[in-house]
Amino acid sequence: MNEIQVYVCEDSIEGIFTAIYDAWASKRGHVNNKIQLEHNTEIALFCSYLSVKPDLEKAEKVTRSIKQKIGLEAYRYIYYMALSNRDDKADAIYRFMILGFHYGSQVMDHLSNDAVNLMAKTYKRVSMERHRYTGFVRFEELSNHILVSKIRPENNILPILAPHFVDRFSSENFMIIDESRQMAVVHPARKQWFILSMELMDQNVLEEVSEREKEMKGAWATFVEHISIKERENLKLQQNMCPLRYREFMPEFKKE
Amino acid sequence: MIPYLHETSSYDIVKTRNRTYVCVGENMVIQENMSMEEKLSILSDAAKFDVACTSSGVDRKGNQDGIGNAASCGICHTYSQDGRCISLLKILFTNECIFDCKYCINRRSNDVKRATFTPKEVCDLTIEFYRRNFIEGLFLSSGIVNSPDYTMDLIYQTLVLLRIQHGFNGYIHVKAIPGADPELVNRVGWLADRMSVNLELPTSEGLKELAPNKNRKNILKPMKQIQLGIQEYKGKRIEMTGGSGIVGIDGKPIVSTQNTALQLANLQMGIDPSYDNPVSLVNRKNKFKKKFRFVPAGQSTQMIIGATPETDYQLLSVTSSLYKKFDLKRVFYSAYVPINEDCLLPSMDTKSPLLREHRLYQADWLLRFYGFEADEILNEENPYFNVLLDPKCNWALKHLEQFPVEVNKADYAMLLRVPGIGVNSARRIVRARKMAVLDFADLKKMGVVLKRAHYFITCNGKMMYPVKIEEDYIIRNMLEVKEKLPEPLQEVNTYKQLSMFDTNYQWRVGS
Repeated sequence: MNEIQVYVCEDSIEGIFTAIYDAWASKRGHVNNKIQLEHNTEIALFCSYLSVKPDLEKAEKVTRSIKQKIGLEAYRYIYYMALSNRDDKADAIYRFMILGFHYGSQVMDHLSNDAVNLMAKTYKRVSMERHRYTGFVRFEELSNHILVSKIRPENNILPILAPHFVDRFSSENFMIIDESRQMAVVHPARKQWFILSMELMDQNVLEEVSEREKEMKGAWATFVEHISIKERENLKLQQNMCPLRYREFMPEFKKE
Repeated sequence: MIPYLHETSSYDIVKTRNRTYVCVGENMVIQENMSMEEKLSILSDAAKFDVACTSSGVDRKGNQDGIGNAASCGICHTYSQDGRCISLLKILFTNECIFDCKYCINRRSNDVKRATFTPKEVCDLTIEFYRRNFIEGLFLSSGIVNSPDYTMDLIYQTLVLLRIQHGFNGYIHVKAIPGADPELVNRVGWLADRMSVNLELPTSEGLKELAPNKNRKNILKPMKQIQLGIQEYKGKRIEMTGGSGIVGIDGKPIVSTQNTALQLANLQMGIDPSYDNPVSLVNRKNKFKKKFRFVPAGQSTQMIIGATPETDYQLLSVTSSLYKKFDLKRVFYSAYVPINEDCLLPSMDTKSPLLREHRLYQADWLLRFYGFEADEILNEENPYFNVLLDPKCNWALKHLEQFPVEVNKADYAMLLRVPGIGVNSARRIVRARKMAVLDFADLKKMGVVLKRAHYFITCNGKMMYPVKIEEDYIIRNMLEVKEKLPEPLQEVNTYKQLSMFDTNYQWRVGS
């Protein structure tokens, strides 16, 4: 039996793609390769570990061949998988790509295959969380008129969530902070947006909330309360549709 | 476009600390000076029975002259305690209604707190809520204040402020007020995304009895007008100039209806000074041009069920003919909730027919997405829904001669008719079987609900379990699983011929 070579990579699309590039180039046979994220520290027997540094050039090559040989829809699945919170995502992408290079764009139809099915399910889960946050994000206005929102998503959805709000609020200065990853989308009015680590953020920007905030939140909570039909109360349904984990930063669910 | 003007010419306003009196000719309106939040609580309470808080049907990119965009899938922003989605700021412009519809909480003869917004208040509230991502846009309805024309005009002014002055690109759904000047309805249509006229009650007899001030003809007239408008103006856009203080259509300035006395009065009434200078205008340009389409998200309607004695078959037939004759996007149902005591209404202890409403929505889905005709779901002999089984399952059991179907061969339309296979799983099956022969484990992975579907399908010529394809046998086995049955029904495990049966059933309105 051959020893399994484990490529250990950074948790980013560049990191994962670089590891896939190296695994492919090794020509050891795909069954003898495995790709793992850095923070998965469990060590298995009969494996040797190889740490892979992200290499933009290699990652770019992988991106290009996915788009050309498997198609844009497949690239989107892979991208969403890379943003997901699954520990096995790097290897899942690797396995999917092996099939993809074999079948071409048709691989997307192969839903009865476990590797493809996992990609499809994850795509659905991540895009669902993104979709929910397009509605559940709440901005607060600071006294300098900057709109600030905090979220705590399961998956790393900032890069796919931001374009929606950039299009919607192109003439506003706004920020969406991912509390669990300590990253933020920053959008200066009418300018290019970017994602920034909170450590690098100029904390002076985060002023006090504006005076009208309390009034607006109060008005909103009043509205949500009064629009409900008492005779049809159904808290279980409410919770199915808006699970508790989304409510942390939603003012209508704050008890006074 | 012809300018639209009211004939009133003189007015007086007297303001005291608690009240504002506005006299126009012989009419006097007394208004309590209320805070914004108080008004909001009254006028959202008054709007809660309006269904269809959906923001779907139109895709619109944002731009730098204004604020907002629209996504055709619709976006839910929160859920109220009744589990319904909140997507839009759903309010009445006013609940000071001159009509006396028996079932309505805002009827003239009820002693409830009354309030009226100003166009500016609605506009500012919408923009401020929208900036904080509380909402996807505005859903504006109204009681009839003074006259249908007057009411429609207030709605029009609000839309002019939002769309043209503020460059608001979010979603707007408004009610067309039956009896209002067609020119006003037309103008509103160019600014709104969706319009709806409430059918109120399924039949004209019901309407005559319970809504003495309304009639069927008046309701269907604007509905027809909007339908014809959508057809006629398809692909057409008109350009309007907007920005602070500048308002025009097709290069010509809009003859503002705000010049008229009563409206001026209304604009001045009860404006909270803190709303005078909305921050939202700070970053905007002073002048911009925008193109508009006529009611791009289409038309919908709603009716109250359970206040009048129609059968489910009648309701479904009305629905189906509305889709066919008026090209409606959606028909919504509102389970009657007894709020008024009246000898013409069901008694006050009547339970709201939530299960019936749920079954109607299921049937409505079958009409729109599953290729069913109303007559296949219900008919003269079986005019009521089965309480225990959803309409699709019910249909399948009455047509067992068409089953089982072979999943690897059946066409898409037939797959859709299998209980336990929905639109998504049918699509997945059609895709996946191009690559491999499917078995039951594969179907499970693809989201087919096998505990329902397995009676009706074969994979590779084999059924999942050895079962009899026989109505009673399948019903008995299905009900034993007790899946998704409403609570009071969980005790029932034999099949009964069913009558109207109402209960607190879980329900949802899809967007």
